[in-house]
Amino acid sequence: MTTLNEQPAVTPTASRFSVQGLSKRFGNLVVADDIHIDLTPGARMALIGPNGAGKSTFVNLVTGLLTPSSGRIVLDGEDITTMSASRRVRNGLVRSFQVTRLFRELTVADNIRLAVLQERQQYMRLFSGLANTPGLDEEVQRILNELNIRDRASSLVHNLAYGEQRLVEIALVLALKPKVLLLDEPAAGVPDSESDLILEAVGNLPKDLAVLLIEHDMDLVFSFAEQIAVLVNGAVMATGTPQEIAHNETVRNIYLGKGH
Amino acid sequence: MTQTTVKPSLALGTLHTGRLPIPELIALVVGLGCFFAFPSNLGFMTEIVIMILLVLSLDLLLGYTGIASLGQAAMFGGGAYCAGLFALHIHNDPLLGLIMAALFGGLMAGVSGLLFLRAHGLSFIILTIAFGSLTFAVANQLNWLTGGDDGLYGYIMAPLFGAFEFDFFGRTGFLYSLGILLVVFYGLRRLVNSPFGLSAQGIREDRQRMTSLGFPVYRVMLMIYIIAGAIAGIAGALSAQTIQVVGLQSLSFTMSAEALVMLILGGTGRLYGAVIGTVVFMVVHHYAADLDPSTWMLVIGLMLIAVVLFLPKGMVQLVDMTRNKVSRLNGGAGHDNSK
Repeated sequence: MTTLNEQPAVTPTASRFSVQGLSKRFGNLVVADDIHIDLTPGARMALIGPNGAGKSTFVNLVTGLLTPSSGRIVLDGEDITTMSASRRVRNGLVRSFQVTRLFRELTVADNIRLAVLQERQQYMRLFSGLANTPGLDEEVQRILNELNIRDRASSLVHNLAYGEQRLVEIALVLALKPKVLLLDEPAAGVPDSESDLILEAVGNLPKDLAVLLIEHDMDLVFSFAEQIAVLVNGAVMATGTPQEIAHNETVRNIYLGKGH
Repeated sequence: MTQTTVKPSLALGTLHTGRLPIPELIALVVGLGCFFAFPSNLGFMTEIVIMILLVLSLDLLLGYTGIASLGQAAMFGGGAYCAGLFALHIHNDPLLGLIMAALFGGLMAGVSGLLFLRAHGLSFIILTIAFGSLTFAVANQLNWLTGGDDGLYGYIMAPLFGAFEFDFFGRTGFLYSLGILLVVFYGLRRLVNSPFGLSAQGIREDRQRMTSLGFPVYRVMLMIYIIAGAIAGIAGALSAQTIQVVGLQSLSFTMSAEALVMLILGGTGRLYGAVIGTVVFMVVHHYAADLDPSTWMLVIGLMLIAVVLFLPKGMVQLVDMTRNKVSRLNGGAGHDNSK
């Protein structure tokens, strides 16, 4: 396993997030096989792999929808392997969804409001109006501005173009102020005309946020990632910089070979 | 255009008002109007007010949180028996009994919800039906306590605030129920427009996404379930106190199912949808049954089919359409403003 230790003196070298020997078996079927991943604060890693390689299983294991058969998941030094899905989020491990999962009948602003209410722990206010919730509107405005979707604030989500919906998805994730972000195919299904929006939003993610990008789109992967892990048959087959991965014969044969 | 204010989209369900509780004032005026216009129908109108409360509790569950239940009568009947027994054995003050019934309804919901809310969708509905049947059977079995088939009676309520006797014509009963309805309605309106209310709607829209946002979804749903149970309990208590009899039918499946039909008829996810649906259902039921006792179900059935097919959002859709039309007519002059 490769670990990052480029700037030991300046940035904290402590791992922000690590997956240690994570495995998942259904009977004889091994869907995750001794996976090790390590993210430092600010890491930009991509997890790639052909269809059926186990990327979704990996995401489900890490976010708590599936229970691993063995291995540990550690967030900021704390073992979160058995923690509930929602507590993982409150502790800073957040995912975005491959297929946009938004509150379609609510406005963009209310979608973001929900995330902000959770992050600020204000959702148990039973009888005070939303407008009277301290700091809420300012924070919603800040996020709307950050992603440049301010003029869509009062639109219902299901009236937005798909690319814009993906931006709202990123807005929700950012509103949670995560420490570690699993970015699940942020550009999936976005037409070329709107993909610049996504690239820009992904490029503008906070610098100290550790990001694990799960992606098919090689352009996005190579423009974004500093590290790439290749998942094949549930196991990490190779880890390295984009250059190393691009020149790795086995990876080219198994994965890149098909398309290029 | 320079300063964009971000209004909550919750307006979907509620009238937006400033400091004045406009919807409650309108309801008060209408309620008092009916009080003076139909002095011989006060008993029936009290029934409507009580039913509105039950349907509102269901709207909080189904309309705002997406929890479909066919067992809300358990908490209604539970509250009714609680209030009746409290008056019979402990104290006959109506408000005290009302509080006890609210607590009891909340307790029933809390205990059952703790278990049932682990289930989703259809399984949850079945569990609520089972819970309803269970409470019905228990009340029937505990003959010595509840009076079983004969019902619970023999208690006489003390005057409201120590001053207003529950009279034979039901004047006090109606005004008392109306007052409680207004208070509950106001509280609910605050609730659904609060951060907590928005969270409930998030759960209705996508439960799993709420978990991924870090919300303790189960806990929020349990709280909603308890609040709805307490409101149903209050409705039951009003029924027990104004009729001064509690029957087994207050726990019946029919009660739960009719409440759901009224809600669907009026429109879910809107507080006044619950009000409209209940009033229409009860009035049609009343008069259709008067004309011909055997065909009122037919009338209700046809009405329900028509609403579901042509007004999928319930009768409130008619209100919306009228309102849009009015604002479009007004818009002719005011349109330039928005540009």
